[in-house]
Amino acid sequence: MIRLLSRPTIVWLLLCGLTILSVAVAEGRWLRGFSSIVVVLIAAAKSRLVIQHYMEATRAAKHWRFLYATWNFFVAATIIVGYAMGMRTL
Amino acid sequence: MQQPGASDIFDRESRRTPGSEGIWTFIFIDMVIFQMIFLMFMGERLRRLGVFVESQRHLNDLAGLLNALILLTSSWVVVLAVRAARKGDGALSRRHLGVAWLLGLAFCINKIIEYYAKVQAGLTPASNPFYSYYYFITFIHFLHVLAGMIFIAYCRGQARARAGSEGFVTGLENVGLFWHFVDVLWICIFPLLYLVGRS
Repeated sequence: MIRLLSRPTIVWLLLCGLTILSVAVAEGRWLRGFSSIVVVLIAAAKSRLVIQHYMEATRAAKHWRFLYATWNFFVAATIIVGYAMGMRTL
Repeated sequence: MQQPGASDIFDRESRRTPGSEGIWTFIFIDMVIFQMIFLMFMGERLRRLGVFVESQRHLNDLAGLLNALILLTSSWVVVLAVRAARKGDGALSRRHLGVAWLLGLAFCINKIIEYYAKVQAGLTPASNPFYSYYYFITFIHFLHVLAGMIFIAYCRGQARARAGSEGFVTGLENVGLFWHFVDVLWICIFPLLYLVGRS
């Protein structure tokens, strides 16, 4: 049981749960215009989990940790800002 | 079977950057290229919002979800393969890599079925800008999956004889890093194409 619930397994369960949650949020109507922003934030959190725990960026050199985290931030910002600008033009 | 001295290698491994410096550089360059593509996609989406929103409704988000779960699972299995190789357990590492390869194949089959359904419905890269981007982005990602599968198959072939050796562990870590990057890309592509603006 302890072996089954090692850190990579817990991270995998969390990632699967977050993925299903993001589809539920996108398909649901309860968050209205904010659902897309929540979906992107969930994706950014998932991406960070993979980079930190599966790619083991915590053990990588400081500059790689910074660059990979920055990339993750810019991808999420690109989608959120693009989506928000689209909402304003509708 | 654990090779002699493998735990020493594992201890050393736990203190250094996984993989080689080159793979971290390569992945970062690839990341920047994808960021540019995402930027172009969002720019084009703003210009033709109606076309993008309408076209997105024809995508099957359950197929995208299935592929996301497949890649997440394969990433997890690759982590287990790397851990087994660090401990010198070649047989276990080989088994995990076999499962990861099969999951990569499942992703490809699901993607091909999705492409086939789209083309049958008359939705091709020439249909409109949204579908041009859809096919372009997902096909580049598909090629990354194929490349990852080739690397995984190569490591699987070497695992039994070389698990525990420093060279093999570093090589497998490089493959693992690339495979996790492929997973991270799909984590970004899935909401970008399938989910954002859907509700």
